[in-house]
Amino acid sequence: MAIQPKSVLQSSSSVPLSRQQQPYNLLNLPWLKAFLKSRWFPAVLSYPTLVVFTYIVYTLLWGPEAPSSNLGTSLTWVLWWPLIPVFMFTLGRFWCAICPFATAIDLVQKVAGLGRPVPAFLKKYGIWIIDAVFILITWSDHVFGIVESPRGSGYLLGLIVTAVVVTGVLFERRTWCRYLCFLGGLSGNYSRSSALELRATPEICANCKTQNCYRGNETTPGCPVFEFPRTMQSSANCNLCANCIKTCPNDSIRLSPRTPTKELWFMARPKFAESFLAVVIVGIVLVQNVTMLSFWEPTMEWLTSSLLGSRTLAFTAIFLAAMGLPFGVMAAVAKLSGASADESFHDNFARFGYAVIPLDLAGHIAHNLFHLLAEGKSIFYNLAALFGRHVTGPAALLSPGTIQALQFATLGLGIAGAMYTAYRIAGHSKANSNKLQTLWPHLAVLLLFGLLNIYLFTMPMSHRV
Amino acid sequence: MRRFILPAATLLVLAVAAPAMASAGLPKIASLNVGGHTVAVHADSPSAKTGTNTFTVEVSSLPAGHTVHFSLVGPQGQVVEVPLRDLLVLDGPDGGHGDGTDAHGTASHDGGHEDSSTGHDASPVTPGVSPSHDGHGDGSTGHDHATSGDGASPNLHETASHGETAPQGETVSHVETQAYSARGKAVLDTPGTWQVVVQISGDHTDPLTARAPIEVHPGGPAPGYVGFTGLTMGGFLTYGVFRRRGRASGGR
Repeated sequence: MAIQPKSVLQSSSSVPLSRQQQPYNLLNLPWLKAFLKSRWFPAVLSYPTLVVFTYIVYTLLWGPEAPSSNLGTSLTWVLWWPLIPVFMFTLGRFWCAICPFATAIDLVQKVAGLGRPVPAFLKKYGIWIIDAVFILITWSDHVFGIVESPRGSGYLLGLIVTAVVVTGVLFERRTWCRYLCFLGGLSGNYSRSSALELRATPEICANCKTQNCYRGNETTPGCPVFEFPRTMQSSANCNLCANCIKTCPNDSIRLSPRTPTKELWFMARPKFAESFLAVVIVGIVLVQNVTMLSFWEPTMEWLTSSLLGSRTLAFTAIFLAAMGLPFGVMAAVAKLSGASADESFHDNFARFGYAVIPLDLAGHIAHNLFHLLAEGKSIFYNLAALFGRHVTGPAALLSPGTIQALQFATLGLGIAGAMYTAYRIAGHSKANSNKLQTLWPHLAVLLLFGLLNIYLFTMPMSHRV
Repeated sequence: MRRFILPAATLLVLAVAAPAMASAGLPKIASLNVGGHTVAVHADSPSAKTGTNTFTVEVSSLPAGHTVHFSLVGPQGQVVEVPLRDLLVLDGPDGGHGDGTDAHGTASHDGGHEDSSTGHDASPVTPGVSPSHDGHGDGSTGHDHATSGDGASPNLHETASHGETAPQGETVSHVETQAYSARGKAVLDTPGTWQVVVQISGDHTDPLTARAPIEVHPGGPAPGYVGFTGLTMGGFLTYGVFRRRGRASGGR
């Protein structure tokens, strides 16, 4: 098959672009292309990650029970968790390509994989399972203690590994990553805001008869997350594993920088469940922060005494309220906005829910900037202890004022990104609708969520280690 | 990766070059009085556990030239010697907003205070003497005082009594003391009641020893959890392997 000239590069839309509009293809960098096509990628990163992860699980389960002394806690909750949204914003779901769970699936499938097709119910309800698991884990964190307890973190990771092994044995490819991983659901949403996209070139693909990108070839498997790059218009599932770059015989794949959040402006088929997850994350941030406020304990005591003396029941009640509040507000706004746009509440919610994603991402980064920058040195202290050196001192890398300024700046960008996204989404409303009336309720609620975040970030925060 | 390794390597070099002592905000498991010296023992878990433990031993005021020896005696009389190494304490900005609990360690456990002093990287540890304290009393202030250390050990707190003048005008002695803090690892094999044994000895004095009981609990995850996850993973892997073999043989 003849290789088409590179000048036919296109954006994800099917409209041909002029030469000036062609996105820059990072694969034009010979060293990057060679690296991504090499059989060492992503193995050179994923296998060391698996080794580190194995040690982390070991030290979480068998190591020190004081979080400040546990390297697994530091690496997981002070380094990895804060960096993961930054990764998603810059590199999309690249983490998923080197994720130890994905590597474990690959290894399991080499020896025991049965390769069964993905059950229909997973395809249909996978996103809802992800939403439910995400909520359940957040709830468990507060009730049983996961982040602040090395053992709790170890238990969670061990259970996930168990589920990963089970799905790896039973189902084909990375069914877990695509349909069940709660982090994958989060990654999918955040990656839509990312500054990097992998896409195929439709003109080149039009002549393709192999479909190697999906099926794989003799040396490289097909897309592990069931994506067909030829028609892929979203970065939500692509994990940049580079299998399609390796297998495409026509060099159709391009890797291009893009304007962050741009993908959210043109959602062809918005899904309610994905918007629901975006709104739920607002509630999760609310819970994470509200538990650190001064009125939290008195409220909990009063509620505990009112609910059979059960603190778990009391927390669950507040948790459900915190989850329900942003959803309720957003639902009311969708009803109001939908009336102006001549669309149902369901459709309006699904469409505009994506506008919350930049705010979620900013809130996630801002919250974890605190943990990374105020507790970051704990990683070095625990790493030194691993090599027999005992080092201690303040864990902060930057002063509180600097950290807070960075948090507010991040949130500011998030609010601006969310409001602009809503503006662009409103631009795609039905022709006969009043776009301004459709837009303003969403702008108001995004501003409300943003200000709420800013207020919560002025409150004292608890440390993880 | 580079940004991670380089600072870690720098810290390790610093740890070798400039050992200093500091306590860490870790759970306190024992408090002893060794001949008038207050000694606190911290663990890296809320209680000591079977398996590897890291103990931090603090002496609030240790006379210069004295050494600290730390060991544990098990329920069956087994003795575990714990080689102690100094803590290097680093300086840095205060972290966090509002609550000020930024000290490395679970500040909520004991406040995460950060005393430090100099010492040698050896076991048992002989605390070093800062060059600024040469044993010559000035006889004027008559107060203990603390000084900051040099750049290598910025949180140094060294307390020294220099030729103190008694109210009657009589010079008593040159007693130089230091806050002492060091860490060591020990593997404890059995749960139950153990004794921590701390011995402080000086050049010209008899060793002073004190003991305190501590409870050692079983370490590691719950056996039920290990059993469940292990059996589930093992079971499915075995199922997958045999099922594949069955398919392969059936296909032939």
